[in-house]
Amino acid sequence: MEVVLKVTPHLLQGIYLTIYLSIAGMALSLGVGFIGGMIRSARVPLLSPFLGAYVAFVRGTPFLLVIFIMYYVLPAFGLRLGALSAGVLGLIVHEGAYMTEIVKGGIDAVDRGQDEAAKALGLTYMQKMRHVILPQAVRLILPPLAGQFVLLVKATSVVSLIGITEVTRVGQQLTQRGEHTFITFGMVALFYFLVCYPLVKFSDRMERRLSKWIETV
Amino acid sequence: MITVTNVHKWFGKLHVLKDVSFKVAKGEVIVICGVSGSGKSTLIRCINGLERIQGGTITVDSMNVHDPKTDINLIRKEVGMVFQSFNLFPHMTSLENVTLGPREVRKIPKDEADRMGLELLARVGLEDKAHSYPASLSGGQQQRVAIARALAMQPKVMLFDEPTSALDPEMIKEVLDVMVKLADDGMTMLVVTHEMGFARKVAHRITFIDEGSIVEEAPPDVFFTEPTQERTRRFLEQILHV
Repeated sequence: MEVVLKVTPHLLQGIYLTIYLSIAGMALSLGVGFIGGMIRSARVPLLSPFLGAYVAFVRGTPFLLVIFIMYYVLPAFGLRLGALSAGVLGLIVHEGAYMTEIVKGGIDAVDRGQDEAAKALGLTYMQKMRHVILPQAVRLILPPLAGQFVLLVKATSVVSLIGITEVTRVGQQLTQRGEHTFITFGMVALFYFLVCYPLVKFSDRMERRLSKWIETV
Repeated sequence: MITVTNVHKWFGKLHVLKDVSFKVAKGEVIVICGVSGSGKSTLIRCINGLERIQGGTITVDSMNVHDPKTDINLIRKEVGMVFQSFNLFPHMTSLENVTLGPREVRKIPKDEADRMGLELLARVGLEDKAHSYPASLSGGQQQRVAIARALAMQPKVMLFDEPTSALDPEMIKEVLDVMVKLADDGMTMLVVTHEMGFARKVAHRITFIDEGSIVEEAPPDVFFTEPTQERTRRFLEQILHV
């Protein structure tokens, strides 16, 4: 118990950074994902193939390497980022690619007849997306999106390697200073679980709520 | 109203429309028939630009449909379309389905759009289903909502792409009744269908398409009794089971 009380304040500081990275990463990579996914599925000349190459690049690159590129390689091109900015940017680049594929998949999975009916009414592309396609796509992509969010939260631990003292790094520092390994890392693990588990539960709830129109009366 | 001139359409190497020409005047009801794969659905999908064409021209209300300079949405506002598989928006109630076009495209305020939408639903006999989602409606009811949705844009022409082919037999009549009423009201209609009873009753002309070409075009009485082409005769034998 004594150990718990002693490490908690330190861990809380790390938790703050982890949550900051997670929320910034989620919001911004989701934005990338929606825009990227819409462009990918609309088959825009040049832009869609370019995004396809981006996705392929990220899929074939370890996340740690993406972080290193942001932090160590970009300065060579004149873009010097602080550790935190580099970390967030790395998360956006990495997770944005996966979100792009998820959103593209969701849009493509909406029945083609929906697209045609919306067009036949004379809706513009944006009106069609907003009122017809995306509401149906969102229901389809919620489960994979929640899964990706969970991966994102856990991926924030990797950015500790460019010197960001998020919660995993704090745990490591504490044990190096001689704190109880099992209790310290156990608390870190508990934290991740307490964030990730509700995320999945929340997605299940949303999915059911958005599906109310599917159930036949 | 609609002029189709020397239209060619290919799907890859497949030549699906071969030099098709015809005209639809205001107030005319034209039934297009033919075996599956003959190009009849493709033809009406070209009219509102859901399919591209590779040759010829199509004009609707003297606007060139496939001219890149034409705003296709101006044409789609004038042309209502009803699909074989209804394609209602499943996340919207009947009323929301019907009012989406008027509200978004014609910028009609919600109150007025709702009032008009309810009127239209009443016209297709579904005012009591205004707040139901499509999943809770029968096929026939869904198709009637889809007709109301297309009418809500106050189109000058209605295109029907096999509107009863996906329906259970006992639901076909309720949809055809709505279409007959529409024809009686003077709507210009282009209907791809196998419902020869409907064709006989309301069509001004019947167009028979085979392998991408118009084979025969005649008023119903002539079409059914004295078709000039052997292919038409064979088709009629198959479809009328005589």
